[in-house]
Amino acid sequence: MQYRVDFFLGIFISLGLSSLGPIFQYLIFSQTRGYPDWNIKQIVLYQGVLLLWFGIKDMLFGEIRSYIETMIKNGEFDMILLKPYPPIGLILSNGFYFQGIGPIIAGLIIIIFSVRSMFLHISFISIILFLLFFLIGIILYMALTIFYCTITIMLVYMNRLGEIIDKFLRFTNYPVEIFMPFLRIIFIVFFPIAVWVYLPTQALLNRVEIYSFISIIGSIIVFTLSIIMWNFTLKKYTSAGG
Amino acid sequence: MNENIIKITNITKIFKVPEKTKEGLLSSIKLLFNRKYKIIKAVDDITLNIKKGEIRGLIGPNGAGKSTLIKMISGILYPSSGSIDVMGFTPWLHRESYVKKIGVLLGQKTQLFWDLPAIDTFSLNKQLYKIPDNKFKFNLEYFKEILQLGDVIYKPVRNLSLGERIKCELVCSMLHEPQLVYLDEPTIGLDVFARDAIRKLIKQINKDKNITFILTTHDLNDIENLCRNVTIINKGKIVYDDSIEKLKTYFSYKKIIELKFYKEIKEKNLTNFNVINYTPLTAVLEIDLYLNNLQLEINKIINTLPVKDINIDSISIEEVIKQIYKN
Repeated sequence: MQYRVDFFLGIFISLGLSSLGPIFQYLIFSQTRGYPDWNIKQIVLYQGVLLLWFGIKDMLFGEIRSYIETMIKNGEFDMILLKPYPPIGLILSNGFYFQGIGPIIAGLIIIIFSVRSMFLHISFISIILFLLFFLIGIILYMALTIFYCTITIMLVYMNRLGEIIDKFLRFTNYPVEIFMPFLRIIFIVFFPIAVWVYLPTQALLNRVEIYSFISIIGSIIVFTLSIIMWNFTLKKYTSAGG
Repeated sequence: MNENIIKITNITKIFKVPEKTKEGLLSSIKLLFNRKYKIIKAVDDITLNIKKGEIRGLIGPNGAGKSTLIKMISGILYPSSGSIDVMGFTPWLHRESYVKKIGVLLGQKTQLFWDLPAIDTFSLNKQLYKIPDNKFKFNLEYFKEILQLGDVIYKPVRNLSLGERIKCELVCSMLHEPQLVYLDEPTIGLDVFARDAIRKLIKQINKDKNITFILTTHDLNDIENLCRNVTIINKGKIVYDDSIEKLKTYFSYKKIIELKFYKEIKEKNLTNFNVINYTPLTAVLEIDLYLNNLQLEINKIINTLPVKDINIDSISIEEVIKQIYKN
């Protein structure tokens, strides 16, 4: 019974909290000069994609940080290494957090509402690009999670690292146009967090530029680096005593 | 003669650990800027062979290097130097294919999902180890029968007794038919009946399936009941590697004489003997047969002391092992 109450209450609260982001953005937008190249309806669409992204990210990887920290501190990571499967695969598959469904539902509702209110023509190519950027976004976030797991294995206690990552993720709350050119290049090329929300939204708005595809290469390079670092760290793993 | 399933050659594992010599907050803050490390040889140039179908005891005091050795044999840790060959695999290099052939039971850690019935973890392992349906069903029935599990596997793990949980852990580590199983303190915390049952089961499974077991424990009854050979590790080195029978005769030239007196005696009355323990009404003496004749010593005891009861025994295996640890 306790589990069921916790589950439904969690979904209810996450749905409620999901609506706060778009309202906050609406207030900022309506009380300021707005964002360059974006009108209010486009920003609402952006917020829908943002919610969808955060929901998917939480649903797939929401529990990983606490999971890996507990594993490493208690020496239970040994049990993962005794399974006939890549350990990082097993860790990533343990991050499932069903309460991410709240933002996903809220995000989808806002996206559908925005697309209809703007009379956007969503072509087959737009959908493919939207899904492609989302998939690449998942791979990039996976890389970030692998870096987190790697650092946790090396240093064991990393309470504030999660906070740093979360703060960094806030850059995705806004279209890259609001940042200075230097940051824009970083967010599209070197650490292309634009693939999480900005580029999928651009795909729905039929505004994808050719240079946007560099972010795919950037994401794959970051993911490859994370795997190399992970494998290197596994060799240095010392386990816990006992 | 059975072939060697494990061949360990000159294996060494060195850890670099931070050293804290002073207590207190100030010392901890200083360490943030000036950290000192010490080098610890957890396993020091160990060479060891284990035969297929054996139940090998691996014992040693806390911090002796047993767990580090097991972790290297099971592929969890990379060694600093040396080689290990288990069934043709180098464990840390061929980890994914190698761990399919081994099973591990860690008495103090669980591999079962705490909030789910054990059968769900078994099903997950079925997928992970790619166990065919018929083999999975056959093995599950086999273990259910010999472990008398009944419907235990359908209850959430958090509701099981420790004995029931250990039985489920045992099933979990062997459903995929490993050729080699590591048992790390499998009877820890169990009552005498549950301990006895687990030992019988390990013996039965070893006999039925010719599975090799490596057993690490601090309970010497486990070792005496299950193992023909034992390896003792201390300070990262092997200090004994032979049969239990030979270990029992390790101090066979020493006898322990337990005495009860019908009246109180003073300790000075025992000055001619090597006294291990004394109370006014009891005493424990040790006799070295290289230096003394047992018959003459017994006569001397009976003639000079008010003996009500006498018991002559060899040195217990526990005492032998204590001596080996100390030396």
